[in-house]
Amino acid sequence: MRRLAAVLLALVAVLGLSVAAPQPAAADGVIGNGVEVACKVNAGPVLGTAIEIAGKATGYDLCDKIGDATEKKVKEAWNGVWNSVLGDVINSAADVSKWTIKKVLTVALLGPSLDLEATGLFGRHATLAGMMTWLGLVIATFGAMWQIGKMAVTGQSKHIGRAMAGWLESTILSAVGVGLIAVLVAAGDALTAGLVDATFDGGDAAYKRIVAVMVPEGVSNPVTMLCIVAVLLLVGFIQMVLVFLRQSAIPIQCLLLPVAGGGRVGGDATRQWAPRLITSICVVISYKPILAVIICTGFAEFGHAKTLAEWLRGCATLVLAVLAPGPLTRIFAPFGEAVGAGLAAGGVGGAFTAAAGYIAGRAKDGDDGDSGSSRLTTPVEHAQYVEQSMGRQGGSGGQDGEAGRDAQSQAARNEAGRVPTQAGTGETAGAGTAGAGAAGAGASSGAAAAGAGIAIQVLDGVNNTLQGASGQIGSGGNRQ
Amino acid sequence: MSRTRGMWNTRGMWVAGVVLAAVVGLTGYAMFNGDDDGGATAGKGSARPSASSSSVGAAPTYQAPDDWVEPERWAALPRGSRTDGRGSQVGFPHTTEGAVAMLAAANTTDIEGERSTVDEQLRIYYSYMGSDGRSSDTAEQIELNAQQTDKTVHKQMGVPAGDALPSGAYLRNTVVGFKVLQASDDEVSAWLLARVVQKNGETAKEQASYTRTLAAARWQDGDWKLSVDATVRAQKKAQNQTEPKMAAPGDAKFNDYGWTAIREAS
Repeated sequence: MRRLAAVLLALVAVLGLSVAAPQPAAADGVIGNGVEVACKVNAGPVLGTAIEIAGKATGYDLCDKIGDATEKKVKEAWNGVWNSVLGDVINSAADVSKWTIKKVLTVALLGPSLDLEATGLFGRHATLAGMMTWLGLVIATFGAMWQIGKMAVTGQSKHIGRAMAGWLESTILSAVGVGLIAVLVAAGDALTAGLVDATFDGGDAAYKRIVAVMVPEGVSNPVTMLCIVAVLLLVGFIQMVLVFLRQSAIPIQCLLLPVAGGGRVGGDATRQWAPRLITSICVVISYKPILAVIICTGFAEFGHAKTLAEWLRGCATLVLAVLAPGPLTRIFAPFGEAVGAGLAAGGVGGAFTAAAGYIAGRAKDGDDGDSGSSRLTTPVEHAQYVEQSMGRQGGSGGQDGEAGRDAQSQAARNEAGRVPTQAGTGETAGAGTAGAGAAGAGASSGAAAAGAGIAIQVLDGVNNTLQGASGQIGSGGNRQ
Repeated sequence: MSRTRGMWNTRGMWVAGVVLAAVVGLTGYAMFNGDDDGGATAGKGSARPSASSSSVGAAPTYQAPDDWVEPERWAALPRGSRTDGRGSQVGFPHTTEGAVAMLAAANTTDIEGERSTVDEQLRIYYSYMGSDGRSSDTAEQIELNAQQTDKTVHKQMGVPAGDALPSGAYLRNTVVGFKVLQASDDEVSAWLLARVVQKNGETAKEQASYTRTLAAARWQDGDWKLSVDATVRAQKKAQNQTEPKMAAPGDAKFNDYGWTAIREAS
């Protein structure tokens, strides 16, 4: 994402400079039309009008201003370019960029988001959703078998307990997930519509003004115009792809919910599917309101003057809107991990507590941490609290290439787990070193670890590595 | 008493007195000297310009730039004998110079503050337009054109059309030279070389441009007036010859192109 930003900024800088370059020449350089209205404030127009009204016009200019000859020559050259094939190209490119901006703004700001019911993917006869649910069930079954096998090998009953809890979570995700997403999407739409109405007095005026600023009328220099439309085409097209991507991502994410839910039943690797999916869903849903905030802020102050500075500001706003999902991902990644950790710690109820705790933790970020923990009475609550806060910090820890270490850290956790009273702190240390990926570790590892368990954990670690790599490629949205 | 007198009579007191006298004398000298300098700067000290330029130590406060070429032809145009209700000078003498003076006055405008292009254009029309150019259509069209110009000017100065111009902003047209195209007793046509300056605000940089305008006047009812017929004749005559190119006074080309500089007499 950062690389993309750098490329875009460099492009804007280069193209922006080339936009800026012809400007001074026209403004006050060699052509030197210092006072534009010089010939309109003397007796020339008075006499000229009188002659014209009297019907005696000879076609001889009464007033000439210095530099007119040069300007006429330059204008002729420009007109030559405008009338050539290049002129047609530029004009049609300008039309396309107008259309792109209009389309982007219509979809991004004015139009409603995709109606999940209308897609027909989630109705009574929805085959695709049914298939996905079925796939989720298959994965869940395999996961359960894996957990049962693990239990059999390690002799730890926690694995079957985890499978059961995962099954419950999967059911709840499948049942309420789509509905929840639909509600959130509708809320985002309402927020966006309110913002646009408040800023622009109606959406129609909004995009008219933005188009007028971004594709100014009456730019006589064809090269300037070419640069303007080139930048706009690039930015506008990327923006449009992003906006449409959001539209198409929502049903796909909804379809994937049962699969991710099914993953909760299985081992550590598959358990991460749900938090990642939740993160990306949060990004996709909040993208539209954020886009509206950026565009409203960027274009609200525009008057009618069309200067280069204003154009650059509008362009920067559009580029910012393109870059918005990157930071958004970063904002929601720890949130998703917090939810995942909560799911691991105490099922769905725990997830909600974790989410609330995450938000509360965010809200009083500057506060002393002790004031938060002092309210927690039991050691179990304290352990959960610590785990939540570690889950939050894990976002910056980075998971890349650490999956292989997971087995070792799991072993370390088990070592710590041999002393039951220190279970909570042992967990914390383990999670701290292994990053967020280890947050899914069992919370109730009170029982002593069997020697054979290490073998399974090594296998689990290998599995984690593979899954982690594929997760990087498939990008669950947590890392950029 | 004697102690006081003794104190006044000490040697130190004498020294102090001499020093005081010297300070007063030198201050007076410096003040008068400074007064001369200031007068020369303001252009009032015309009594001794040669003295200041011939004095060795003091540098002349103003001198023409090295590349200044004194215009060969100067004219101190006569002024109008009275000012009409719109603030324009009218009543010019019945001479060629009087006609040029009227043309120059008609081309001198100052758009500033509450005074808009519409005001100035209509002032030119009502004060100087001769009977052959007058009609209600003409006045209306001039007003419409001037409104368009006003819009442009207001836009450049960053205020809404119809408002007063920002403080410190102005658009001035000053005639600095002329070249007579054709002159007879009752009809004079001339090229007018004008300097247009525009400043868009208190802190904005002043922009300047030169214009060349062809205009013709006719003696009518005891005064020179702008004339449509005379101007059309001048246009036809100008088409057969090359118009003088524009050059600022002080430029060598100003003389080459045949311009006469206008001296603003007091």
